[in-house]
Amino acid sequence: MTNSKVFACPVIGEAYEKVIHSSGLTVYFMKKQEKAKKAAMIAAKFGSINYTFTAPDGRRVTVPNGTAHFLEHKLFEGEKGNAFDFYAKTGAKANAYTSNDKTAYYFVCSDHFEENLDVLLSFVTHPYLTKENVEKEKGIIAQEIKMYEDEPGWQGYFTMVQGLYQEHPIRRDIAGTVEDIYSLTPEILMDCYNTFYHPSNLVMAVVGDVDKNVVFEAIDRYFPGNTDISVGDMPIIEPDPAGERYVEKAMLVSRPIFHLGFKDNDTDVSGKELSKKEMEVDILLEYLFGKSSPFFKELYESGVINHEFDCWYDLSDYFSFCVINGESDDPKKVERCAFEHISELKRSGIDEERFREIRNGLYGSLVMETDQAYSMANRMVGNYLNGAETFDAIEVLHEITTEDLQKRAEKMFAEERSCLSVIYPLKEE
Amino acid sequence: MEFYQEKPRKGVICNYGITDHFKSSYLAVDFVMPLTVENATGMSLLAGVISRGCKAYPQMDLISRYLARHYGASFSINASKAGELEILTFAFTYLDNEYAIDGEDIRGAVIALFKEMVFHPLAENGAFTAEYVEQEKTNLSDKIIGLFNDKRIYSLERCKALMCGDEAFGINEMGDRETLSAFDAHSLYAYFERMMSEAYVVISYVGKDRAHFLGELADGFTDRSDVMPETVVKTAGKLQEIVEPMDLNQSKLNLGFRLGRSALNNGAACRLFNVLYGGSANSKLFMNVRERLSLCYYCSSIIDRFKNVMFVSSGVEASKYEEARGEIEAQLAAVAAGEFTDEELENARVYLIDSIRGFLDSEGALASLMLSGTLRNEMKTPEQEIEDISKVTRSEIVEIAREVTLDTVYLLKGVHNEA
Repeated sequence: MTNSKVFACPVIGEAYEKVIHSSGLTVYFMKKQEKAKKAAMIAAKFGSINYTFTAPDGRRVTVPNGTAHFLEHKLFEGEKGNAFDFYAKTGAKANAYTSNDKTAYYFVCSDHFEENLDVLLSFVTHPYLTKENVEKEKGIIAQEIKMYEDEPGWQGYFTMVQGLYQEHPIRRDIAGTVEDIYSLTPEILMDCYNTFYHPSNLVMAVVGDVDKNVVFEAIDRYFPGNTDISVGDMPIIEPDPAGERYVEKAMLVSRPIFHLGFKDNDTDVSGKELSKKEMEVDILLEYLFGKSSPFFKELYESGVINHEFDCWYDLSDYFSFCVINGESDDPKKVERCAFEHISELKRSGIDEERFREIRNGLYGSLVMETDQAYSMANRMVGNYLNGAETFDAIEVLHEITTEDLQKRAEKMFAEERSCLSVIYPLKEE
Repeated sequence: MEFYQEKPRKGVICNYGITDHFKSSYLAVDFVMPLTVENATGMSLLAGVISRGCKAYPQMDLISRYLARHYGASFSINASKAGELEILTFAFTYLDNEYAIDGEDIRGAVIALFKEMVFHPLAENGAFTAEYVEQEKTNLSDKIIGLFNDKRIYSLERCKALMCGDEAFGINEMGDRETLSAFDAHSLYAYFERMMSEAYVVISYVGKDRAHFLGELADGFTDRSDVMPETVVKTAGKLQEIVEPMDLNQSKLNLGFRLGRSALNNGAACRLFNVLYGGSANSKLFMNVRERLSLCYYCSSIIDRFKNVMFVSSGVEASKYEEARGEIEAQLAAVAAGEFTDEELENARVYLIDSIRGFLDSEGALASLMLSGTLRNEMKTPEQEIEDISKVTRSEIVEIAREVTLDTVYLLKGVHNEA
């Protein structure tokens, strides 16, 4: 251990430690006394957007869509067997996911934490890719891809992202197409592994009633040296306006499904400022479109939308956008109404009382979330990759003013940076 | 962790799950009725109408703002089914008072809202607000039609309906559109009053508050029947095989099984059997249908302990349907023949025990454990459940597997490339 810092949130009696291990690996450790569940996550800063990069030997490599996700599936395989076979002996719930900007592996367990941690670190540090086991995975992933092709919610969301962004690699499909993945070989996957899975490009988080020494002894074992390879940042060029203002697709759904996206143009923010921005946007989303908003009331009471309605903020180091999603027979009307409420907010400002209510609500949810081991591990990993610290959110919440919100609204919500995607019903013959 | 139960009135139960694991508390009331089309439709419609407002807060945004103000307290009302019971649940989660920044009484505010929402819905002259009722009828109708949007759930529900066409279990928890169309503001209110006076009531609290305060809420109810409606358990008849084509990329295969007497009488063994066969990522189904044969991305089994049935679901290539189905049946036969290693059995046991221990960190899971324990009249804490599971033997699992019979095979066949 070379470098360690404690982050505390005294009002709720919680604290976590951030350690930069001698290998270059960043580790978050949050002790939760007497809790049953323990969670550990390790993530590589490698997602679907990293499709082109310089390998450690200097070669320029460009990979098909779906490569990061395929590698996620394959890392579970080890020379001595599948990681699931080992987890099976301990009863852990283990899984992994690949997003636009990261690949995360985790487990949640009540018992046998030490053995589970050993399994997790072992397979993530020991890739075992053979021609046979790569071929075998293609059938499974092809079915996963086909499942997503039939999911209207996912299709609507992804169509919106592709409309919103013009050049950004977020437009690339996380799972790829069946053709993409059939072109993958162990060599391509190893190029990715060697580039992205070294300690300084990984982050780990452990939450629960766990002995800290156990965690760091395991880390010492699996990350003995220091191989600091600079990955180099993904240069991202994205024009300001949305690529398309409207996109649509027909599928077997009973009622049109809409996703209205707003692309942020204030993306050069990091650290505490990023946490503040995240809280500002969360407050604005509830203020403008949440269940307590006049927008929701108006559209719900007139039957334009129903309870299948949600809004959220997708934020990373590489992209930042908001989504309003629901079912409606008249998605254009939802869009019009959203624009009206945004203009109204920009014109007349924020109602102080509602702002305080929403801030209270957000505070309560953030505090309640600290009871959940998996959520905290996931949040600490995500925040680290975005250059932020998890307790900053609770801290900055009370620094936000109505003026900040109004400024934020200008940057976050603009018609020319929005895209409406509609999945409309395809009638079966 | 301790469970404690009070019966302050006939047919009204109060459950306490006392734990120091959370910064928040969970408070809920469940109304339990037999699963009939009227109850399923009526409770589902009530969930929509009641969420629109109560006398004190007659509009949704007023409720949302009240909840936000009280540190993000949450309220949900939802109708669901368990075996052949239909349950309407009002649930609140709230931050404990010690975390309120300005010393507000969050708990008191939530209990006040609980009383308003449950006992004083927005109604006058024996009718709910007609406008709300009409809108929520439309919303529920859309939701029933919208079941179709998620093909995985849709195909499973279809399989249940086909398998239990002449049993209550075949009724969807949302009811049906025909029954829905007959409800109006008056008849729904009459239904509400009937539910309030006849339904079996379970009030639950999970949190660190050791004061037995639920009696105050139970006082709002009168005595009622304390006989729990029964779920009818049947054996499989002639095997039904149904294929329905749809323009999809992936086919959805669902197999409906009836479990036998041993499963009914031995809950711990039944759950362990399910984990071993298809209920985990180390199960026979996952390891064979997915990992060994690469036939699917998901293939898993679920059981309904009330109805004593099991369903296996998988997303497969239309051309591989026979192969997948064959393997699903073969793996069941293997368990029934005792063809599983001691290691597989112990793995399943460790997995199940780990999950149940994890309930200790989820207020919702503890509340639902108390509820299902109450409905089955065998309330057990997670620790007691774990003890039962540690005692299950190999022969008990084999016995359960031997009695499983296939009742219905339903394939929602993807025909995207057969235009």
